[in-house]
Amino acid sequence: MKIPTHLCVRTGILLVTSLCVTSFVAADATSATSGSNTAIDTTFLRDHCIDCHGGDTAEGNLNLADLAFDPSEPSNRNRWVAIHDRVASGEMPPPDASQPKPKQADDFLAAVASPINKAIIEENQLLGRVRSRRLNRVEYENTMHDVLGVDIPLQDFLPEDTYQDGFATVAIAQQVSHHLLEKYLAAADASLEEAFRRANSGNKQRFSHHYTSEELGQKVGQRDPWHVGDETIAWSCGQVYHGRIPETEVKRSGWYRITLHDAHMVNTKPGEGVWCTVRTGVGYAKAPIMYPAGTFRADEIPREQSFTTWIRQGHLIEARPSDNTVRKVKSNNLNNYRGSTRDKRPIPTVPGLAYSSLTLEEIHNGPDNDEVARRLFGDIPIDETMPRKEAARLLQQFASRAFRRPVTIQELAPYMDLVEDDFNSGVSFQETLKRGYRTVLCSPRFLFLNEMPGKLDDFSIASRLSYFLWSSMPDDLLLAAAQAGELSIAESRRTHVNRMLDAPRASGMVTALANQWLNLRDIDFTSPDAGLYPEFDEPLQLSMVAETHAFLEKLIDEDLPTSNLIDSDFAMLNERLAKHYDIPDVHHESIQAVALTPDQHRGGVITQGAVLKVTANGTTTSPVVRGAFINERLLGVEIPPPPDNVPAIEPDIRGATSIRDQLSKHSTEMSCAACHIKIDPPGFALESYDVVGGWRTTYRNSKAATTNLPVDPHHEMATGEKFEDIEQFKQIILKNPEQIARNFTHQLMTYATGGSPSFSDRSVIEDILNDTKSKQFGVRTLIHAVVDSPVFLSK
Amino acid sequence: MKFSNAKLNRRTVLRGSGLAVGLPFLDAMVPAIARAEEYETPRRFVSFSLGLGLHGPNLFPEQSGFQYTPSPYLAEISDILPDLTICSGVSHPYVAGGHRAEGTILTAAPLSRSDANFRNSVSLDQWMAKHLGAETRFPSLVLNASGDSSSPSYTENGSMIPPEMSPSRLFDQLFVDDAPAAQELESARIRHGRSVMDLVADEAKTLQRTLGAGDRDKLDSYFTAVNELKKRLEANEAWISRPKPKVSKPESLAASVADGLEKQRAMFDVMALALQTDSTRFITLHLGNGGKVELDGVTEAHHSLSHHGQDEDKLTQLAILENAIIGEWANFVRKLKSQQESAGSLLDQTMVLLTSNLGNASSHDNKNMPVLFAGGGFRHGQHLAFNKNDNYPLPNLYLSALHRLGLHQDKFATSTGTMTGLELA
Repeated sequence: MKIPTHLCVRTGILLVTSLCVTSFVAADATSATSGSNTAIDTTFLRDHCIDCHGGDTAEGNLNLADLAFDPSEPSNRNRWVAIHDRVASGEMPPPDASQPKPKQADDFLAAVASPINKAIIEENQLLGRVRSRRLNRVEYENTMHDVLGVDIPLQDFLPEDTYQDGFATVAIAQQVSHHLLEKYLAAADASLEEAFRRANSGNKQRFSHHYTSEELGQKVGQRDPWHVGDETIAWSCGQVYHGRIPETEVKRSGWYRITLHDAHMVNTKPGEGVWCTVRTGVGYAKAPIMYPAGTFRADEIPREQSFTTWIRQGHLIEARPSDNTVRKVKSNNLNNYRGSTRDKRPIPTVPGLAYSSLTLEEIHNGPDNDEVARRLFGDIPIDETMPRKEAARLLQQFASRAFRRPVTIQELAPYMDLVEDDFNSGVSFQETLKRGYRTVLCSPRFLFLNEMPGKLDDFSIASRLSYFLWSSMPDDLLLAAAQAGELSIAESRRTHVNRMLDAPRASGMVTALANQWLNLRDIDFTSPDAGLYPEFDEPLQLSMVAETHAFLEKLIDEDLPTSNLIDSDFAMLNERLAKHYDIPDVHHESIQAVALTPDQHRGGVITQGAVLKVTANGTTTSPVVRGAFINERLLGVEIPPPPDNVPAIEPDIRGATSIRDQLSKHSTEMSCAACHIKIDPPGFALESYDVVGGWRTTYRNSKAATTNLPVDPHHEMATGEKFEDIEQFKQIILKNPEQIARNFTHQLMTYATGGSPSFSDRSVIEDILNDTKSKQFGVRTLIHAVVDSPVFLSK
Repeated sequence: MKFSNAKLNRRTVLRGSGLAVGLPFLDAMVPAIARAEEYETPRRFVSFSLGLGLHGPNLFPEQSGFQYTPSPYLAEISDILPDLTICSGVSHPYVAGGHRAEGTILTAAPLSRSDANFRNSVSLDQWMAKHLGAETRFPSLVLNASGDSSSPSYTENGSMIPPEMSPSRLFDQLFVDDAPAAQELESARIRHGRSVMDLVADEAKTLQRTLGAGDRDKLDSYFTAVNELKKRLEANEAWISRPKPKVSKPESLAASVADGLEKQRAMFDVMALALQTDSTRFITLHLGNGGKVELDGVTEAHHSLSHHGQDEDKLTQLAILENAIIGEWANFVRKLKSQQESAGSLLDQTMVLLTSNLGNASSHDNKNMPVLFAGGGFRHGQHLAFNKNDNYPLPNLYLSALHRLGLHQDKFATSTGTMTGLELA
């Protein structure tokens, strides 16, 4: 990149010949600002910065004596943005140094900001503020499903996504290698194989079977449920895989609907709910992974329970109570029960999940075969005698959907040449078509979101909208709207955004925000120590994730204020969560809004189980990890990571030292204190929640510990404001709802555009905040405002 | 693609004799092909990497040099201690970030905790495969035994190579010939794949013109990837019609294999066969995030145990588990040692590394990485103890490994030279 030489001046010359520097910086500042305040800039650095950040005493690794001012160079620009922000927030110069007059600081800030803004805007006009981004794993899978109508899982074909600024949509973090392309080729082949198979097979017989009570009772196996009379019962027990049903082993991988008939509990009190799981897997020690199909609440009333799930070939179904809050059979003497008529073992007295029979049906989790055929072949029945130009027409139709914009025959010429070659070498019509589609699905036009610098055209807007709100490609309606030019018009765009947010596919955005922004993708990363947290079970984990999803959904649906992210007067709960959170009188199975009182210590996302779990490891919590997470993801305060030579705290659960003691030694060191003053407040406030999100007043220490140390959540904010507990902490944060909204807008923008807002995008965010303040920064209002912003509507 | 005569002959011999590999076959064959000194036995490199470290106090001996008393972990594998070097006080310079550093195990790319725009660089195995991998059916194997789809192998533009996670699929790829019809189908698929790559390369060029300068780099790397894949497909096509070596299936592959220890064992078994049959010379096996493992005395998941918080019970369980993990690695080393090639044992020809990005998983510390380095014809049996507080660069070991393969470069990643104290036998 070419850099104009006058910008390359090293302020370092300042120390040697300050006159000379003054003139250079002045020249620059004159061109960028009003011009009357130019000399003050160097004075500002000399008077307030150089003492600590110059020459031999370059504190914080910042040596202003040796730092050029070159806004056209991104990393240099970032340094100056950091300097700008430290001064703007009043953090620098530090309180014990001489303070600049407000006007001096303002002038300095303006002199730094203008050239930076100018450089960014020029760069954006030329290149766009983001690079072309590749579909991530989820987007790729969804898009393939939409293009072809197939439903097979494709994410496992591709390597894990790379994350940047919290999201898997950020272009600069994405790399391409031939290994990746090979995977795309393989995924396209598998999908096309499946699509053509289905399009040709019509309504071929799919597996469907009703397993009667008698059938279920025929086999006797180690971990099988018991067959008592005409019921099948899986007992509440500690034995793994108890409840596996060997008869249900599937011969073919696919989507299935599992229905338990008359599912109910035995040995429970009337109305007492016990949480059960349905899972699939091999179900024995050599292959311990069981994939959850769902969780449900059962009591003494028989009900039908249905679950849709992908089952791998050779895997079978397991249905059982999985509730660690109820009594269990301790020993392993549940094995090999031969049926109540022959086996004289006494019936256990612990709760058991009973069902009369089970239905297993192979299904399609999406369009039927006719629709798959329509997506491949259009409405005309296809046969081998079709003229070649039909193939061209079909390929054009297919490519226009896959590339998410109309494709001309000319643009398709190279694709058609390949098709022509195939025809000439005697490849069949269908096979030729399939190969043509294969090419389309490996094209950079399909795999990348390709946007031209400047204002986006309607089709690019359509794709941005659909990947933002649905994590997939635009549907026919949206493409038609793009064709009609409706998406450049604010009013009609708004109608589409509302339509899309109200569609079931809007779960794509909710899941992406939960998984990426709130890290819920890591929900399985650690398993809680079963000795310390015996109450943790699978229904709880599944419910926790569902809680966060439902909560975000409600904020969007009802346009609730963003401040709800910090605290809300309701929580989205089912019975299992309510029990965990100690909230009385909640017994429903589905996740529903439940009104909260402050003494229940819930509300907002920051005190939701899933968020608290992913910010802890399975054994201990760390105020540092949680504090950094809350600052960065919810408060919009960037926390610089610790210097590399500072070792992390060595966790100790023996009960001798508290985390506060360990941390206080560390935080009082000057170099650590600057950051910990921000990290620690939310971190300590959240110490009242254990690794699985339960409320605690004392720590659970290892068995050997004689005493359990008390939790002490009190702390003070960087401003000096003190709080005693999480409730008071939340109240302090809620005093500034604008900051909560600012951060959320920033996060949405990063996710939606594939690039973190830059220095010059800040004014766009401020405009959004001004426009949405009257609506208390409602979440849906903010989504609309982001979509309508120039940042979203330009590359 | 070129094949040395020696190798072609060996394959012919193998096929003709129907010999179950696992016997010292090379020695028997070499005289028929060439005099031993004319036949250069290939050198190999294998890395076994862990995402959760090894508990330092159980691993590192107190004394340094050749006369050290084995640590608790090393005492369990005392028979192979003469064949390996344990290093302490080593780590990758400028690498921090706890779990995030998993991607740098073999790349040693500086990863500051404050570096949000981190971009990885080429991993040791891929660098070796790039220069020396073309002669075998598989330039390298990238494997994972924990089912978490991560690998320490990175391409030159810092893109992670997705690992193979199924030992039986790996076995099939290496040793089971497809039926002629399937071979033909695969050939057709590959041929068409090459035309597809030609076309999308042109598409990338077109896009490059229309999308403007900002996307040039992106499309450039896409373009490079396309060309590399074309080369790969070409090489693969050449291999399709060549019969794969015939070996007997290891017992560890018989049943469905659980992630973790069992898969680790099965992978090691197939890896040994892959090296013996010269199907590849560079292998990485990764054991990432540890789930629950079926093992007597271990009730907690591996990751949970690694966060032991000094709890005695957890440390006991962790030791059982880590002993078992090291044990499987040691079996692999023993197996290589028992295989004779013309130039000595297969182990003499194969460098086998065990390491992890975490020196202390409980506190997520990346310093003081565990390092066991066996085979390769080095003078082993010692504890190379460096400064625990001011670590010695591990990339120096990587540079030594490169030199051993004949790649006499000055530097790998942040190396400062070859490893002090590590000499040829």
